[in-house]
Amino acid sequence: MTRPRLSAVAVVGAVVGFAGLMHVVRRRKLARHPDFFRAKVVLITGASSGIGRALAIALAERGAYLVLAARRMERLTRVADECRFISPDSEVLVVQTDVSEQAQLEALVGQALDRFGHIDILINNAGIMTGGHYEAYNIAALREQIEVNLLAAMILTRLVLPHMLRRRAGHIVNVSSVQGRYALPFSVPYGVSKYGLIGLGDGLRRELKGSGVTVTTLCPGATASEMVAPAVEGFRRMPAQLFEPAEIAEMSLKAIRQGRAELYGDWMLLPVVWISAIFPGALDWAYKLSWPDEFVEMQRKRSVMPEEEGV
Amino acid sequence: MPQPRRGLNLLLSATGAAFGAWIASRLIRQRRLDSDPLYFADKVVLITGASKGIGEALAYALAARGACLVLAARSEDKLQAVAAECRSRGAPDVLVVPTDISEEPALQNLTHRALEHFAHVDILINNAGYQRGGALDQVGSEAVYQQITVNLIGGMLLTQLLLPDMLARGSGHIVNISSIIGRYAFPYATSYGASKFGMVGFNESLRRELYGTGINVTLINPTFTETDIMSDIKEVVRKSILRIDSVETVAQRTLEAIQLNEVEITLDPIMQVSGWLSAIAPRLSDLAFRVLTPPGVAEAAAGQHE
Repeated sequence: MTRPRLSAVAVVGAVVGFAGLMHVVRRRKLARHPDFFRAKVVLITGASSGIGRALAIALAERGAYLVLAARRMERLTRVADECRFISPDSEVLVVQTDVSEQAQLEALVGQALDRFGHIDILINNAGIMTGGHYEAYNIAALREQIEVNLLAAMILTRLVLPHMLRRRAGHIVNVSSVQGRYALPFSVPYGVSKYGLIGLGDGLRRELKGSGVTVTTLCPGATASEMVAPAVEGFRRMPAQLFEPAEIAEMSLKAIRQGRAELYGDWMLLPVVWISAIFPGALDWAYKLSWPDEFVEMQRKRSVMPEEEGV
Repeated sequence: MPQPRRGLNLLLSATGAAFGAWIASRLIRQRRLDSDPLYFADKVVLITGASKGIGEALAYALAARGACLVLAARSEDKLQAVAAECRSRGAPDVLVVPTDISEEPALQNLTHRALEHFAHVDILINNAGYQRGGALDQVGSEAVYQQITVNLIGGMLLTQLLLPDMLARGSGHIVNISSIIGRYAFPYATSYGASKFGMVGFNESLRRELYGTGINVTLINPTFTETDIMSDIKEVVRKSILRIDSVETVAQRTLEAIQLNEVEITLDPIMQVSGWLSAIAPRLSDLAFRVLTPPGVAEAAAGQHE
């Protein structure tokens, strides 16, 4: 009887030991470069609100040079002023950009390179979300979500990549979502775009291995940004954690410094991701059980009030 | 008894039980398939990208089972040839609608003509796909847009157009032919991968949304298949342990999955496991590409055009 118990103890011990070792390695990596972001040029799309704004502020605190892009100029300049106030010696460039227009993306990259000469970190953060029953989904809203959330990231990455490859250094960060691994109903195009972003990140990471360019995919989980504002009460009642954008920004910067492949804000959702990857149909009924009509109602509200995040 | 023997016994009996369960599940599966040999008879099936490759093979397999077909693709000549072959294989009625899937009016025309001719569509197979390989910074932006439009948005819009009718009837089946690239992204096919990941997301999201409405949603992930899409890298893949399926095999497995209402099937179990790993341990799964594919496949894919 002692042998099976002994081997079980050994296995558990090995797992715990490995996890501990990884933790120590990560901590050492972080400690080695306390000024990792100082004077790094970071381009953030969708920087006028939500996670984009929080990332800009967190990066300004660390002395990064910022290129902020978004559609809403007033809000964007306000964020830029905040960044300059926090860190007077860091430079902030503001470029009004509609990321669904390729010409504007080219202009954005051109301006950033003119001003700073290079881009160290590209954060594809701009995203919008609307909801509704799929058979009645507005086609313009459907296309816009794919263009803004997915195509813009692909095109912008394409434009920035040659410069990074020439310098053999750079970091591409895509803000996807837990919905990029476990799609929720009643916002089909959003799930599509976020799955696409994960595919982009995975493919790119394997493609750029050894090139000096790192790729990180962020899957924040529910975050109290403008995106969830119309349904924030519904989200609070969900069995998942609701994050503040600033919390997500801190986690994200840590993940970027560590060069992690993927970051989930809410690790409690990981088993859901794993189960649905291996047994895709296993959790289909879960909505009906844990999120009754309330969830559907919440998403329906969204289709009436399409809110945007940082675009 | 010394203890190791007991451990061995346990292991052997567990293996035996697992093997037995697997055999039993295969038998039950086969019985379910055999119990309804006329499942596809007189069903109306719409196939996009039906002029060649998997779409063509699906059309022939369905024709042999007596299904009514709506065939859509860009080239009318090729479609007519496929339609003639379908009729000779036993399809009661075949409608040919030349369609450019990247054009919204063309999709509306397709829906309209299919519903006009057959009054309803039982099974929609979103199959049309287009690949252009190469490093992301080398691929033209036009190719990026084109792949997302054809592979992803085309199927999404067509599904949306046919869904109200299926919902009104409370039955229907939406089948998305994605790729294992939608679960495990390959390098040098990043925009194709993103479009196929999007399709997986579409399938997942829609299946959960339509849960309980009577409409089924099935995802098919072929791996390497003998089509034009992979003609350039076929020779390299042949040297690996990954299998290359014929289009007939993919069509056969697809029809079985539709009949059994399976949620998702992946043709190559090795790649399926890589896909799982990709979601669970992304960094570790990067090794899978290095280990499974022979050296040179990435380079071959990088030089691939259309």
